[in-house]
Amino acid sequence: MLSNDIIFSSVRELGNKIRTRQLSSTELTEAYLTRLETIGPKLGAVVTVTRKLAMQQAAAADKEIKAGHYRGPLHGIPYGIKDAFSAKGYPTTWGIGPYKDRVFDYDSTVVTMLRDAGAILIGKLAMVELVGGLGYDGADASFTGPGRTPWNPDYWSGGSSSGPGAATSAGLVAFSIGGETGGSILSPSNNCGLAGMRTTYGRVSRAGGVTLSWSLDKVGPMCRAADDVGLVLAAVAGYDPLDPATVKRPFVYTEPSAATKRYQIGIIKGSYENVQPEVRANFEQSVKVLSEFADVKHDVEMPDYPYAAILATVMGAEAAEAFEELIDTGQMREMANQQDRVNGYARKMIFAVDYIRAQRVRRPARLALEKLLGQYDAVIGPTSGSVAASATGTFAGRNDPPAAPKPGETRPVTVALTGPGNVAGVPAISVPNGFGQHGLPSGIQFMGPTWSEKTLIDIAVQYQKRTDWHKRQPPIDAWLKSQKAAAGA
Amino acid sequence: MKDQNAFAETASRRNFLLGVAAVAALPTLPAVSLAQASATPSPAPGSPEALEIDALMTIVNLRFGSYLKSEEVPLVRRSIERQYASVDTLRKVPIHNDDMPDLLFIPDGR
Repeated sequence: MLSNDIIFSSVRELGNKIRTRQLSSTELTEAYLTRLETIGPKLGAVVTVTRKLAMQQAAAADKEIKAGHYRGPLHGIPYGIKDAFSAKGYPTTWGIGPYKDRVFDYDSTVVTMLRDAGAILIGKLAMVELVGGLGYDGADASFTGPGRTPWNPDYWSGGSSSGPGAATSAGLVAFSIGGETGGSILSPSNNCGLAGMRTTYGRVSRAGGVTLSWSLDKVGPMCRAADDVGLVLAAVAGYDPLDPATVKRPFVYTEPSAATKRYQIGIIKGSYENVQPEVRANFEQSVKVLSEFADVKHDVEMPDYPYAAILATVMGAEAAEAFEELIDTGQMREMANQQDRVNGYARKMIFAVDYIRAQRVRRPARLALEKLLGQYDAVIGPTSGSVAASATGTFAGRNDPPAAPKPGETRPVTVALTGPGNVAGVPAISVPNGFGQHGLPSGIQFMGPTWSEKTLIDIAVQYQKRTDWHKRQPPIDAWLKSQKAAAGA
Repeated sequence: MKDQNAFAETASRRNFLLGVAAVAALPTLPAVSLAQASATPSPAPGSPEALEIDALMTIVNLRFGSYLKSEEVPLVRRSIERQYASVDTLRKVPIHNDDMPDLLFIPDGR
């Protein structure tokens, strides 16, 4: 039985142990499989465990490594993938009951690339139904139940990559792959205390994955350390003829040893001043740490565009088309969440001219944000204004745009980075920066211009060299014992 | 000229929708008009915005009414109200005739 210190090791550390044969892939894979099978369902983190495939791949990896054919830092490393992506011969559910038995006879490109890198697929991880594109209003929006953060399982793991968030944080996999359209990687990374990256639109192929929005969907790694994000991204980035959005632009990653320059970082005005007190305090402390190796400028203004309205309209219209069959046949009745059961009908009432209007407004918004981002290595803010929401009940008001202020009325406004970043298709990474209410983690987000993933990871790595939030282990064992005791009482 | 065109389009569309609302029957959807408490207020009953949303609800009823329970109808309406508010916000952003959408047709793309 492997110790928790090994289970919660970084990908780089695990890779070094496997490369030097201090640890076999088979041994590590068995340990993660056991945890995924036993803890995974309790956290609502897993849909399908790919045990047979995983053990075959692990045995093959050990054989290759023993023979001197080492493929790289992911060789022999067990991972999980959001159930939005196909894996040949296994169900791909997209988080909904009607598709629980649906099997594709091909691998998604990201699964193929990770297999080529020697990584071991051990599970299809839970997710919010239909990638959350229909405006769900509660953590119940999955046929596998709410995803729960291992830091406090009464609270939500975030979404829509709810399973990757919970599983990676709880040490059920070494890393995972998520997808983001409007916040689906950054949200669970915040709630689960992970290093998660939304990549530049087109950086990673989406082929073989569910489409929510052709013009917004992105893919990215979710890991326990920022350095691991670089290792995983290096394996999955690149051009894919099956995804016309991808580009022939190399991503090469080497671990940054020390800051080679003083980074230029801007704090987005309004991003942290009116958030939860603990989230604000954690952010302000993070800024002090960043100041050790970066010039930090305050009060950087986010370009003034209606990002939420752009996202809602573009995502709404594209989702209505992407999921038209489910909507038109009434299968939406089988969704788990009350809003997901009905919002598809509303989304089909978005006019084509309104969709095009949103895409027209999107362009100057994107250009303005790109111009701002070009002045900095990264702009920052809290990943979320609050720690995780409850795993029960609804997110009251979550889907509502704020009402316009009345004449003469002033009110504090929180400027989020995630919406603008998704509108512009630019990369961002979230890393944990402390804890707030109920023992739940908070995160800091670094956002940069297109194709700046390496710089963002370097900054996040420098931050993590000076902090230990990413090395903390969630109290999942204690929670399991309390669950067992309660069941036995 | 640009403003006149914009108004003409909006007015024409609204008139069309009002027409749809006037002639359509309501065989399936119950006449419920509850709005969930939220940050964005619902348009005042009888306002042009509310009438336009009424018309959209009529289309929803015609196409999808058989799939909906009565208690779900207010949720659909609220969702459409949110969409309406988003689109209304977008219409207020000044853009020019030649501002192209962030979509690109690639003739030799696959």
